[in-house]
Amino acid sequence: MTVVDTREDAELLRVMGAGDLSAMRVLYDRHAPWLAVRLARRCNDAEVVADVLQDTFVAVWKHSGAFRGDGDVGAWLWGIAVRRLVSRLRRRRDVVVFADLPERGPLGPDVEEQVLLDIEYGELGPAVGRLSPEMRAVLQATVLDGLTTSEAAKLLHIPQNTVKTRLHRAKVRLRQSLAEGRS
Amino acid sequence: MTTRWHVDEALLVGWVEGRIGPVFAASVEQHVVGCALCRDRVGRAAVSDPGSDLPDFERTWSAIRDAVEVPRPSRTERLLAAGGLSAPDAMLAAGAPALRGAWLSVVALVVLFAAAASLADARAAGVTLFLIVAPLIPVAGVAVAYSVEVDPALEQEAATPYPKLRLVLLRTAAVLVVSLPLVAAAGLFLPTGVSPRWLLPAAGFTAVLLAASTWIDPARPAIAVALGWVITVAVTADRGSPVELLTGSGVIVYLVLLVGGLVALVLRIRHVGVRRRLS
Ligand SMILES: [Zn+2]
Repeated sequence: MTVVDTREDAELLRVMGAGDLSAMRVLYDRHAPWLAVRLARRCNDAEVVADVLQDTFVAVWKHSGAFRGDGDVGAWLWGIAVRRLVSRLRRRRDVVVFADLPERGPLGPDVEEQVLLDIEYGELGPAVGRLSPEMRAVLQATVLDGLTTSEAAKLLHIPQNTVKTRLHRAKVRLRQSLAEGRS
Repeated sequence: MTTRWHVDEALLVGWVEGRIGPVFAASVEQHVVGCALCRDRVGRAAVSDPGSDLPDFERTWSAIRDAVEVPRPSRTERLLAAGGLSAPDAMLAAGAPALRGAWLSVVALVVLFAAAASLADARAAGVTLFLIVAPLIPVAGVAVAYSVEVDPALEQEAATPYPKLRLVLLRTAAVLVVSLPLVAAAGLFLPTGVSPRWLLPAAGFTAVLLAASTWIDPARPAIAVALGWVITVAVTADRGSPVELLTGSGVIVYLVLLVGGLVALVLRIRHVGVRRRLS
């Protein structure tokens, strides 16, 4: 299995602009699974995830020309998907967003500790883990998913000011944890 | 660097199956978004996960394909939409037979024939023909605007929560907008007293038929009206000039039909409603 060049994704988008549906099928096969998993980790309703996945690729089909060739197609797709999720969930209060997952999975601490050494967040990981679920949800929506505070507010069904407050508190908490860890 | 870190298999499967905590999930996500190799691995893990909470990827693809392959609205539809109609209204109005080429051609041909005959030496015959045809054109338009026999697609449309009366009104409007200018133009060739007085029976018949369409398929009353009108014009023409139908007591009859039909229509609209229900 060879690593698929991301430039090929950009090329697919270009061809899709000319109406080639088979190009989107290739793009779908490459990106739909991880998009679906990432959406499913934010929303516990498989129907909603399927709808958002559909919305995302329909939007991609219509606006494939909007992709700027210099960026990463994966990140661009996620940006579309997470915003589709926000608009789908705007009127759905029964769906649990950012379900609080068990902190320790069945993987065992050894595997997780090993991985933690290499991830982008390094020592930030455990600190994030100590945040309250509410704060983590805000942090995830804004920092990791790249939503604006207003979009995060819609997604989490909380006022925009609450998003700002929780984000501020989360950052303070993280800074404290890091400072403690270093001292 | 040639060697690059990739997500551990157990962690990757754990993420796909939703078994790992948010911190690890976040790190997997940050990596996967930019790594094609791990995206491929996620794809294989997602498809092979039996108790998956993920959507059916083939079914979702079919839905996407259906959504993007929906045909673009026709030129008529886009024109109507630009004129202020909503997209479903525009689609249904554009489906009116009046907007189809064949119907328009027939109307034009009949009207031209009548006008030409009235200009030639058979002037009286031309006037009679015009008088027979002109008021019946909107009548035929209403009749075919909502007749399952004429438009099989209506069977499907009737199954949707689209009010029948709204459809009739919409399509009748389309019929009138398309047909009347042609007929009116032909009427200009006729002796004064015919044009624009023929609009009176046309309006009376249309109002009555619209009211009738709130109860029954308008095709049958339309045929009745057409037969009655043809006989009346023929008999009057035989006795003298059919133009007499457009004067005196005739005018009163048309006005009664018009007002009565409109009153009945308004009452029925209040009763059955023409607004689209929210589905
Ligand atoms: Zn990787």
